[in-house]
Amino acid sequence: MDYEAQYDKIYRYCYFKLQNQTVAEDVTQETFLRFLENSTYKERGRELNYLYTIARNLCIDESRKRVFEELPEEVSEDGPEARVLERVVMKQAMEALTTEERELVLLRYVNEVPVKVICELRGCSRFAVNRQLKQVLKKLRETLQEKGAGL
Amino acid sequence: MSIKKQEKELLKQMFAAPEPKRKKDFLRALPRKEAGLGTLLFSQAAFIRKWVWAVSFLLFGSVVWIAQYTEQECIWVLSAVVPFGALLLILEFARSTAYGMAELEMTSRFSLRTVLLARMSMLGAVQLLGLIPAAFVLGTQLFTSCVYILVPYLLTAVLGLVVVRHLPGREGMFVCGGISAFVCALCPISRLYLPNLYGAEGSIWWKLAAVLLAIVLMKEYGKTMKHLEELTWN
Repeated sequence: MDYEAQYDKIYRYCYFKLQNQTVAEDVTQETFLRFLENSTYKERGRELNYLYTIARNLCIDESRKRVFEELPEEVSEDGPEARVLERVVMKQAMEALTTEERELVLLRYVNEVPVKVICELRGCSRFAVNRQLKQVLKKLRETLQEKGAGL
Repeated sequence: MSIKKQEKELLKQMFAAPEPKRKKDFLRALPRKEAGLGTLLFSQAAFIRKWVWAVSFLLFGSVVWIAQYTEQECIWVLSAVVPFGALLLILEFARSTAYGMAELEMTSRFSLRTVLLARMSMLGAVQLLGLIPAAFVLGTQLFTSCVYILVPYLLTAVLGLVVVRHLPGREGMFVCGGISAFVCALCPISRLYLPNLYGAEGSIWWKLAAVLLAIVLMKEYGKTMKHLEELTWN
C-alpha cells in the first residue's frame, strides 16, 4: 500500500468529516498508527476497508468530543471567471446533498475508493451503492443545469 | 452513469483540504512492519509467469503418469524429461537480466536476491514435489529412483546457472535450451552405450553424482548471486 497517497486521501476524508485541519491531521496519523498495530485484518487483502473503518470510527469519536469551526463560506476566487462560477454553483449543488451523499461522492469520485470497499464500509450491496451513486450524480447534474453551469 | 473528467476535477476542488503540515515527518517516522515469509512467497508466486507454472505442472504430471507405466529399467525416460523442468527454473531465474530489469528490481521493496530465492524455491519445490509421487509409483527402489530423476535435473540447473552468469540476455536463454536438450539426449545415449548404468552397479555413481551436483549447484547459485551484487555497484 502506498502510504503517502493514502495519507492524503484519509486526511481529506477526515477533514471532510471534522472540518478542522489540526484535528483531521491528528486523526489521520492515529488511523495509520492503529492500522499498523494490527496486521491480521489487512493480511486478508482488505487494507483499504480497514483503513477507512478506523478513520471513520475515530472521526465519530472526535466529533463527539469537540465543537468544530463552521464551514468556510467563501470560495477561493482564483482563475478565470467561468471556473469561479462553476465552483460556486458546484458548492451550492453539494450543499443540496445530504452529508451521507457528500461522503459517498468524496469516497467514490474524489478518493477513488473501489465500490466493493464502499459496500463493506456502509454495509450494503453493490447494487445499492451503484444506485445511490447514480442518484447523487443525477441530483448534482440537475442542480448544476438549473443554475446554468451544466458541464 | 459515469462521471466526466471535468466533473471529477471540480468535485476534487470542492473537497480540497488544506495542505497537511506534518505529513512528511510522520511518514518518515512511521514504523513499517517487515513483510513475512508468507507475504513474500505469495507476492512472488504471482510474478512467475502463468505458462511456467502450467508447463511445470504438465511436465511433472506427465512424469508421474509415465512412471505408472514404466518399469525400473526404463527409468531413463523420466531422467530424460526432467531437464526441461530445470530449464524452466533457469529461464525464470534469468528473466530479470534477460529483459534488462535486474537493476530496477534491485531497487524495489524486496532485493533481487530475495525475490529470486523466493521464486526459485517455490518453483523448485513444486517441481521436486511432483517427482516424489513419480518415485513412489516406481515403488521398490524409492531413493534410487529419486536419484535417477534428480541427477539430470541438477546437471541442467548447474550448467544453466553457469551460462546465465556468463551470457546474460536472450542468447543465454537459447544456450540453456540447448543444454536441456543435450542432457535430455544424454539419458538414452548413456543407456545405449552403458546398459548397466541404471542397474545396481551404476547406483553408487548416480548417488555420488547427485551429491556432487547438489554441492556444485549451491556454489554456482552463490556465485550467481554475488555476480548480481557486483552489478549493483556498476
